[in-house]
Amino acid sequence: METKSINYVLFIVVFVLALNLVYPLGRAYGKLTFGDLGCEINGAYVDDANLCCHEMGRFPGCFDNKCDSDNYQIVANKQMFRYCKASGYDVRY
Amino acid sequence: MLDINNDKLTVVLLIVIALLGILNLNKDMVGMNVLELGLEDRNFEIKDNVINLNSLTLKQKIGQMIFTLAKPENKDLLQEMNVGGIYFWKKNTENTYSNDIRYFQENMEIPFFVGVDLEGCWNPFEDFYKFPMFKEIKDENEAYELGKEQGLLLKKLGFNINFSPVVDREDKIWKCRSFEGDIERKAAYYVRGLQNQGIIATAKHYPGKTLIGKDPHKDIEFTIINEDDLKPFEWTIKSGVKAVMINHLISRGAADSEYKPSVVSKSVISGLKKDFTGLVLTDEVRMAGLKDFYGDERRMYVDLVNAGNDVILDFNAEPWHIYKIVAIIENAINLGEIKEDRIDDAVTNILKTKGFKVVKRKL
Repeated sequence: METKSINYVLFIVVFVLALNLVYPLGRAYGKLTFGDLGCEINGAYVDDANLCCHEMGRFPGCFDNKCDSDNYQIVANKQMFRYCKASGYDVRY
Repeated sequence: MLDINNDKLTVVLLIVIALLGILNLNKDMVGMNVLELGLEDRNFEIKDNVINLNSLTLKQKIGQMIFTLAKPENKDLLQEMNVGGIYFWKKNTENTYSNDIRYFQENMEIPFFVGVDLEGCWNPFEDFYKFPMFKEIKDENEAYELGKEQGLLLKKLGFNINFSPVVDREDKIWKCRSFEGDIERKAAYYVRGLQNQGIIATAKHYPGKTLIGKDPHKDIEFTIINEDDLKPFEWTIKSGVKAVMINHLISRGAADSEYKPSVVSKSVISGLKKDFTGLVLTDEVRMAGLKDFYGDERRMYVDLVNAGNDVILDFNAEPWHIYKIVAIIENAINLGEIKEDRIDDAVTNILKTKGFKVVKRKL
């Protein structure tokens, strides 16, 4: 590749990095790379991923995609558990 | 053949990219001196339960405003940073709780708040102690007895604050977290029962309405709050509740959050403070799209403080994250975005709730 062409690419990278400092690009395009996430809490579907992670974190452990206690049940798929872990929630499964 | 001008430009661009890359990775810290995030000696002036607020450094005061998860491996750093509160998830035995809480509280001149959610249908102690659900409670006397029984257990284990009762009228998700029927009366009696055992009760989630299953950020859905939603809070406040937790919903009506999550609305929190002088806590900040609403994390923490919250619940308990919150708030004070008086008011409230008499002079 010619140096001139490389410089065009580098200019674009500079522009993107500078823009991200003042206007985080995640805000424009969304942060989730896991697709739509949610869970069922006591049978009701919740599409708030962070709420799901918070609730799942209450349990010492979740098994077979379920977190169970006397009056509480959360059902979530493996993707949801992975999202929670990746987002720093202490979810055990 | 070398094109010198273009090659020089390439080198310059690469250097600029490297610098911008470093700035992007640390953009939360731009403008802050990372080297200043050192731990400070604790030279608190405390005598006969009177504490001189001026004996806390600014970082230590800010630390008191943070309530995070209790991870034993972080105990030393949470103590050194003078973090105000620690929260425990579910454990299997009484001894595990008692031992862990004792471990954290060791040598703490300003003790931690030690918190738990013992709620309407969530019982973290169910492996060794059962309680009826809130919806099974028939009247105020049963509510009082339940509060008393829960207070006795919490006291025995070493807790001092319970994030309960939930007094939201609408609960389409859990369907069991609030009392049924006369919510306000039962909640008021529950609060008395709990607090008579020395445990701080927390009415939540002001101004009302538990999450209804939709992410308000995705759908920009407003919650309409009416006077009925505020009544349980009025009753629990009259009953002496020591803490109120604010939710992240965008609300209209009797409590108008001005198109923001209630937890960062000065309007909502000052409305609460007209009749309430106790502790104001945020709901856990990573939930319900609060961070997504903001995009810029720094702005979120500044607004949480300026809105009037005394305590910030943030369950990302990694020490670097706690350092970061302290640095963000300290930096905002240095830039004039937050007044130091606001911090002093919050920490005074925290220390009073912990049982200290607070003064601003040498003892």
